[in-house]
Amino acid sequence: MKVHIDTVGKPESLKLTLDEALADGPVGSLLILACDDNGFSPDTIDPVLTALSVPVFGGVFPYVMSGTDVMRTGCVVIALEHHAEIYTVPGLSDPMTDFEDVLADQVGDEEFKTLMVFLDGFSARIKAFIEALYTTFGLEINYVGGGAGSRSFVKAPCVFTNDGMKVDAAVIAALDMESGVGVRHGWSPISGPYQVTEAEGSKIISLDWSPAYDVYKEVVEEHSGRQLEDQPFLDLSIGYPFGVAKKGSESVVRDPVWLDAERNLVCVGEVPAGEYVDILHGSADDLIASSAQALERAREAFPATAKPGLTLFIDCLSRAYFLKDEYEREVAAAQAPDMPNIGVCTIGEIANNGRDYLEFYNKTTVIAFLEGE
Amino acid sequence: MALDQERLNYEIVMAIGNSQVMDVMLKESLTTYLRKLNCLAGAVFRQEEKDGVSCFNVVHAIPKRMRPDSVFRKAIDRIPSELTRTGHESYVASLPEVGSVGEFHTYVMELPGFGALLLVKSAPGLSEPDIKSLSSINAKLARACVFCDVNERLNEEIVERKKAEEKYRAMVDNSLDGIYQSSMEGKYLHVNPALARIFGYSTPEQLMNEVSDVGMLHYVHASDRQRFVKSLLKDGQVHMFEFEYRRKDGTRGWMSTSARLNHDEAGNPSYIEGACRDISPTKRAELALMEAKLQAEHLSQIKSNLISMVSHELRTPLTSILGFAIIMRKRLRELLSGDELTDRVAAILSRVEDNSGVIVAEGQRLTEMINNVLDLAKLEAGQYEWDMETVSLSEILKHSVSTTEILFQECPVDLVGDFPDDLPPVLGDHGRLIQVTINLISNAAKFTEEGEVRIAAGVEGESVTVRVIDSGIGVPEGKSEEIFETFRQLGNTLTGKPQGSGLGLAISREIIEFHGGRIWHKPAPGGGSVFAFSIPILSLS
Repeated sequence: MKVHIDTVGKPESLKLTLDEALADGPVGSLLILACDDNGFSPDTIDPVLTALSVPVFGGVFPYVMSGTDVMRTGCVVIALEHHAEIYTVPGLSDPMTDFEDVLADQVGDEEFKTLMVFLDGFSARIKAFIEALYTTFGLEINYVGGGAGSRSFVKAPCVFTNDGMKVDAAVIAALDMESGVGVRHGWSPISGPYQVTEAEGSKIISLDWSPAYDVYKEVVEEHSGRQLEDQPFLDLSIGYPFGVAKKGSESVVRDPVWLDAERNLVCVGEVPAGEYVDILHGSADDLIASSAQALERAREAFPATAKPGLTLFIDCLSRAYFLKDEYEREVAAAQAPDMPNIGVCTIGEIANNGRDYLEFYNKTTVIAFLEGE
Repeated sequence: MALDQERLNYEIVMAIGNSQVMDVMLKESLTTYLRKLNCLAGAVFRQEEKDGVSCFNVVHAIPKRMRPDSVFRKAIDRIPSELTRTGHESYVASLPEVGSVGEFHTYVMELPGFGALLLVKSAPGLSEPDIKSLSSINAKLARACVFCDVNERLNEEIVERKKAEEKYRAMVDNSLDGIYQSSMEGKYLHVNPALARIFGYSTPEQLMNEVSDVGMLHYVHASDRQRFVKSLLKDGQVHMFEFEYRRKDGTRGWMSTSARLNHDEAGNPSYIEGACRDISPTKRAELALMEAKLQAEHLSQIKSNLISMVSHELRTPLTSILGFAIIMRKRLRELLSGDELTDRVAAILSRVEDNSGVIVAEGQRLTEMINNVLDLAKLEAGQYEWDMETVSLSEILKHSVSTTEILFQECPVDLVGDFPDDLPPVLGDHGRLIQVTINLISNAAKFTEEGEVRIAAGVEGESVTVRVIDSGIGVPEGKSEEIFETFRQLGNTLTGKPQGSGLGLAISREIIEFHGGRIWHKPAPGGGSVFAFSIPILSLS
């Protein structure tokens, strides 16, 4: 497993980096993590992707990390020795798409141990897709991945496949490669539980039959001592996510990122009506400590019989926003010594270590140890 | 129960039974079970019993993909299969069952009235209170599953009924006959497209909207409607009731309808339903046939009158002519036998006597011809009075031979009877059968100059066959059928060959065919003719 860095972030420089990676020893598949500020589009990138002769997967993310370096432009190319079986799922927001059928048409009897999944973080039916993923692939493999997209929250092509750059799609790389996955978020409940009484997809309309915004506003303003409407919504909501209870595990975080025209709370990922949620808060230290815990859990989960070649640090963009200047500490806490550490800031995280039901997380740190030389 | 567990249970309950389709319902429900309880896998089983053997079959599983050595597969395989009724009851009574596969915990819980639920969870597992708290949720899931099964069966039944309804509706709508339901007052309740077409309307709806009184608008004669309704009220149904009807454009036709009367719960006449067909072409043909029949009867009457007239007006003078001609010849013979005549007078009288012989012969021939014509006319008109009885063809043939022996006395032709005395009886007209036989023998005599005329008879199959075989001049090739036609004679009437009236064989054919038999001709071996007829034996006819 080898890491190649493109610091320029242009289609031409990416191509050079890919050529370099392909020339540098046997390559089974390529993982490309590109920065949002590169300004890649299908017109400029598709010729590069479609010309590749090995399986490729990845996407565009707000930030990409190489070690402790948080890149705003450029790309990280990881050349994997293992061949990846690539599956693509278009129409992630289409209500008529049966994801199980789409996957069933592509998936055969191949055996693999790790599934890497990157999807358009602004798609409307991520929950349904995750469920179909789990139903199709089962419980005895590790899942790791996250939501690609722009930090402008504008939906645009962001997923890399051998057919080009895609929007509203998911790319799945199935690898017969050992891995160990750790998941932690560090947020704790400060108020709740509240029942989500009305919701539409990722939009929370009411809590306990009161307007969700009003309930949320009251709690957040009381806890923070600030007025929600004195700054952009995300500036304050970034520190007060929702948590959906899960038995025997940390709650699943749902990040409210904006208000729609009716002042309903729009989160990253669905929050079904009927569920109970708490309002969470965390300190920088809590979050950074959770990243270190995720690293340890990933190490513990990695099989002793295999050799890790790289850590992949998948960290929610909103944690970077929340931690601000402290974010360097988070990144540092997620570094494993004696091996390359690569990371991305994502819009939602996907992880399962074979012990918990597969979830789409928000505001969470996922760290994966990947097998390699 | 801890508040957290209570909340989780509530969330699971809220996700159960939100669809009436099993797959959709279980997808949502089971996913929520797994998510909220943080389980790795789950399956719902339906308990089925056949021939006293009970088993649990997977209805829905998450995940669906399982390796053969999968923890989930192993957990599923642990669910017992093929239990006896007692074994099944014991197993269910032992639930919930807590087990393990490798490092994973397994939980099998009853879904009352449906089957079982399997959950697979990593450590930490579910506590006993947690498991107990799930029992009411499982009961709700079970009810939802049963409801989905019932719903599916109902949907299948609805689909079957819809298919049946569509089939019958298609039969009604596509029928070429008009089908209707109408109130007692004559208002259409339902009609099919064919009925609308018959009455000249574009659509069934137009017919129903524009016709408020069938009796007044469709029936040309109100009395026909009254009779129709009266019959219905009396018998409850009417078959092939014909009436003249009026179309939308005012033209008329003929209709045949069959209908039945329906009653309400109180037993009162409620509505009429039936089918009808336009029979105008048939009716026209029927009327034409009636007219033709009347005309034929008229013609037949004319013919009968003609026959009567001929019978009287022709025969009467002919009888006088023949009678006096015979007397004249007799007197001339008496004169010629005496000695008082001179040679000259005797010669003249002898010529006159010859001439009178011709008059007599021709008169007899004319008489025979008139009789034959009358006979044939009666036969063809069906006016012949038959006297059918059990007769013996042996006796008939003997009689015929005896009667015609005189024809062979002064010619070198032998008449030979070659038939048994015990021919089986037949049903026939004694006199007519003798007529036929004598006719055939007479013809043979006329057309045979030397040799013999043999009368043979015997049983052939289910009939008695009589053959008149002569060594005469025979029938020209290809004329075997023609000779049975009326007025067909053999030979040239001017060359002196024996003559017939041309009607004898035609009459014989009419007679034999009336008897259910057959008459025919074929050449005799070595020259001559064989005229044969067959009549069914009485026991088999």
